[in-house]
Amino acid sequence: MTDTMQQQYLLLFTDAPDAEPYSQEADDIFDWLEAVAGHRIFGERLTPREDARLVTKRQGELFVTDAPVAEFKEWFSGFDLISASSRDEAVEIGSRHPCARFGRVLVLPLMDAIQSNRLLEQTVQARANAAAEPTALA
Amino acid sequence: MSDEAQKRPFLFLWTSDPGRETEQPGDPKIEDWLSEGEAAGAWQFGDPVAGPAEARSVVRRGDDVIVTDGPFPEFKEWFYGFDVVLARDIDEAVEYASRHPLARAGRAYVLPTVPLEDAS
Repeated sequence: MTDTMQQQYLLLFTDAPDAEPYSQEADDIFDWLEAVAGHRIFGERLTPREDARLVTKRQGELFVTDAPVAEFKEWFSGFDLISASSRDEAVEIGSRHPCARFGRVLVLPLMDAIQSNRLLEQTVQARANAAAEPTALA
Repeated sequence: MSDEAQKRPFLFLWTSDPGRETEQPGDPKIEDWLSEGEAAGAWQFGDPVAGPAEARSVVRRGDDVIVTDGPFPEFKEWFYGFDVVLARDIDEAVEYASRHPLARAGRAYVLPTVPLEDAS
């Protein structure tokens, strides 16, 4: 968490019209999670578009739109916050995510390093515990 | 503890918007939004993202990995940044997002998350 040589990137997964149709058998997300455990800081899968809201405030009035249409045609399926030594490495990590096949991966460099906080610390700690368990059992 | 356990992470994606307004006197400051959210256990982390020219789009089609440099013509607007926020439900998340200065100066997509094991 304190490695200052590492940059941070937001991987944003979206649908894509030319993508492979999703198949659970071909979804190797758990392999990816294991392979990039040292790079992955936090990530979640997103629920469908119907659950989302678009929020704007204009002239003092609040506008909330259900199931908004994205600014582009595709919709967001998930995200991961990762650290990598370069953008090329971040692209390489993203290219191995199943969403690179079943959709598209946007690699967005962050402007600042995310500062550690409670949720992040809990997540990192839980991962460290989970990673330590198989060794302890072996 | 049980109250915390009922909360789920929400992703806020902030983008530009052609109808955005400039800051008005009395608008909330980003620092206040962050500190209020942190005190309430809502705001977890977030950051601005780089401009579209710095972004990459990555797809795998068959055996090929295709990397495209930004900016991307299909994105007329671009991402300002993101936040991860804990909330009990979407209404609570929307309410918090609505107080961010970018609700006026851009737009917020408020996106619920689902645990991986529950996703179909």
